[in-house]
Amino acid sequence: MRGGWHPPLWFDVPVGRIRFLHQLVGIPDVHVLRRSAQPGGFSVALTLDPLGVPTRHVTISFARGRPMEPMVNVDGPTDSPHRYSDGTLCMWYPTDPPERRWIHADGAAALVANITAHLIREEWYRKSGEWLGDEVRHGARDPNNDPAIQVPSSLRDNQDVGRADPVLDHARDESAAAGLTDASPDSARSFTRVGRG
Amino acid sequence: MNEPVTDGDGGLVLNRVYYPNLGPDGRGDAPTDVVDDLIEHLRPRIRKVYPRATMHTSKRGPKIYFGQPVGDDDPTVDLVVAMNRKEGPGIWIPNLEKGTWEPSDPEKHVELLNSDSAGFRSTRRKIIRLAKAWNKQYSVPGASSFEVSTWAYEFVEHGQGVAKGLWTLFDKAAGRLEAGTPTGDPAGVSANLKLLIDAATMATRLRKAADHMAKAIASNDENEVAEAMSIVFWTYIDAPATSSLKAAAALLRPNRPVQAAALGIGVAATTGAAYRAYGGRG
Repeated sequence: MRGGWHPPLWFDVPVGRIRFLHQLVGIPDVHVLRRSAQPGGFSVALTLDPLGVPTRHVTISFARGRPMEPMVNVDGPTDSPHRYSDGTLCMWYPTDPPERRWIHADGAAALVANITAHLIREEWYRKSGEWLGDEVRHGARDPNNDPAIQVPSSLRDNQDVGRADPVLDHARDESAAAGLTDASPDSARSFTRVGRG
Repeated sequence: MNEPVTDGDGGLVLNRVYYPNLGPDGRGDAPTDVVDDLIEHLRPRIRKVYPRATMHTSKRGPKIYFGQPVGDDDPTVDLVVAMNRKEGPGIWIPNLEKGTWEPSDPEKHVELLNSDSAGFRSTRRKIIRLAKAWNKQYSVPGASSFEVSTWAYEFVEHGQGVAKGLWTLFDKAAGRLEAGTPTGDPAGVSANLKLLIDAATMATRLRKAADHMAKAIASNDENEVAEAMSIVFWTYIDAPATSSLKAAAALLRPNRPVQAAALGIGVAATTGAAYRAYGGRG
């Protein structure tokens, strides 16, 4: 006997699809695509109006080979540091633990919440250049300008509560070391000479 | 924008006669022990007046938290332990992260920034303050205050007003990073300056700020100007066109779960926390 029996995928059975769609009550224009973006898969289209972002038409697809991993396409601008090469959204690092990414058990509503957040992050990035939230970036390093590896400020007293912020400390250090303070770029820190002579 | 009473800075220049082993001009001893000694010397004396004071170190020396806030301010003091250089200008200052001494000429920096006409210096000071305020809006500032000041020193030109000068700073700093060119020490003593984040990200931030400023400078429409500047200085300037997006960004910035309804979506769910966005198309 070739192969063996495989249980149906969650979207092969009506209850799986109905449960997914039921969790999206409240979202406009939710409908199953007759022809999935993934052959033999399952695709749902919907419309989102994230706060501060123009209306976006979203397609969430699940492929037969990867039934638990949503692929999300969105219309509108594609300028983003976090899209896959096919234009789908990259909302989490694929091999991160379950608490740091969406899993099927989290449900369709949570998935849409995270899609919404990602669209807002992209829109904010296009305006300000700031990505809100954690990110994994990769790209060529600039040895002339990229920071050296930073070591956090050390605590000297065991009972102390460390409040040192290594980034801001570093910023103040460089400014301070150069004799320039936030109060006045023209003033110098005062140096006191110690030791006789 | 910049709260002037956040920290105080001071320095001690050690007499080499009493510290012959220290530094490159001595027998090469690292700064770590002398900084430790200074902290041990200062701690009991400071705690006599400020019993909750705590002693830390920063890259350059002792860093003192007094544990006695004044209103919303909780000032700190940074001390730099320095030595005169036998040859060459400036002083040796510690790099406690590497356990080494590095050359620096802070007095030359002040001399350079004070070397122009009073009017130009006044304009440049305002530009520096604005640029620093812009930089500090980000969860992680991209450049040190000194590097921002250096960019102003290098790029701002005579005859420019504050708006044009600030745009010039953003534009030329972005161009430098886009080209992968370093920012050198204006005194010519220290090593090239390094950013606090990767250059590609900082270049993007600067370029977008420059683009928004260019739009504002070119426009005669007050609403357009406000919209553009409300993105450059999102913490300080409001505009109707950007208020919703800024409100959404403010909800997501702390990197905690947010109700979908607060983001404009009618489902009963929250966003995940600490998801790490990936994908390298950007």
